[in-house]
Amino acid sequence: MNKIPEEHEPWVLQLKSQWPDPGPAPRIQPVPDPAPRFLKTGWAVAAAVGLVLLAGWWIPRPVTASAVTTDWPEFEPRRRPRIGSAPSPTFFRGDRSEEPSGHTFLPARTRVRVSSPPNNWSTLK
Amino acid sequence: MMDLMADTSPPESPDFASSESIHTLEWLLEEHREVCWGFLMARMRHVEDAQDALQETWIRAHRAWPRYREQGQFRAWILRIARREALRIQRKNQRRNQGTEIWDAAETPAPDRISEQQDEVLRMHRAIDRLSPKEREAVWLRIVEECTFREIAQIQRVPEGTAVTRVRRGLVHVKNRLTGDTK
Repeated sequence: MNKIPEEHEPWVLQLKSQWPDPGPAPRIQPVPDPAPRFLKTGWAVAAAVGLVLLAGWWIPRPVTASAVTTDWPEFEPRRRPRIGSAPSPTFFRGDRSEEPSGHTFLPARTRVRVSSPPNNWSTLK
Repeated sequence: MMDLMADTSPPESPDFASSESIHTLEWLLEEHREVCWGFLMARMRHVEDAQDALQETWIRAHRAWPRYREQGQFRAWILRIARREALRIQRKNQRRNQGTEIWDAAETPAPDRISEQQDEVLRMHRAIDRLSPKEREAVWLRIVEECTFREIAQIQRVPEGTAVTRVRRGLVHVKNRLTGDTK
């Protein structure tokens, strides 16, 4: 064993023999046996399953393209004027550029069908 | 003290949780109980704290045993655990232990009853007592326990050169205090 120069001095032997005596070592309380391995594994598996369940509940499912295209309800006009009656003033049958303010524009395919003028149209005039 | 490691290295056991392996650990711990106690007292100088640290060291050793891979270096392994526990307990009890030492004035005999030899021993104890904990620890490991510098470095988790420096500085300080040279 390599020694440093100071260790060769005679007083170092004295230091070893006169080092304060710590007394007898105390008795150690018995240490409980560690948990069996299968218990540890069981806890690990249970924790992993719990995490997966929690993640499945918490993380929202991704939106698929089919869900986007198929979930739309069919278009239905809000109000369909009865045939033969006068068109509602809230509907405007015309071009979008002519849409007056305060009126709802209806697309062309939903335009209200207007019945033919009554037979006595000319007399009413 | 003879190196216990020559005959006490645990068998190469792949299953550290087996009862046989635990018995090996128990046997090794019992073999190193006095060493740990001496180390903890040299480090802590407080009986109750050292007892707590020893108990905690045993518990930690049981927990860390499955990860023990330092075949043939059990002494360094267990003393490293003991040192960590000593530091933890000292940090926790720092305020409580101020001024409480193992070699307190109550144990010192009256001056008129001190023989020359006793005086020499007392001066030695005081010189040791005034070392820093790291130096005292290193000197104890080297001089009393006859550890190699590599073992001291492993236990204190420092480079080997630092371990050499600590031992050397500790010895110089003790010598200076014994000779009255306090430079």
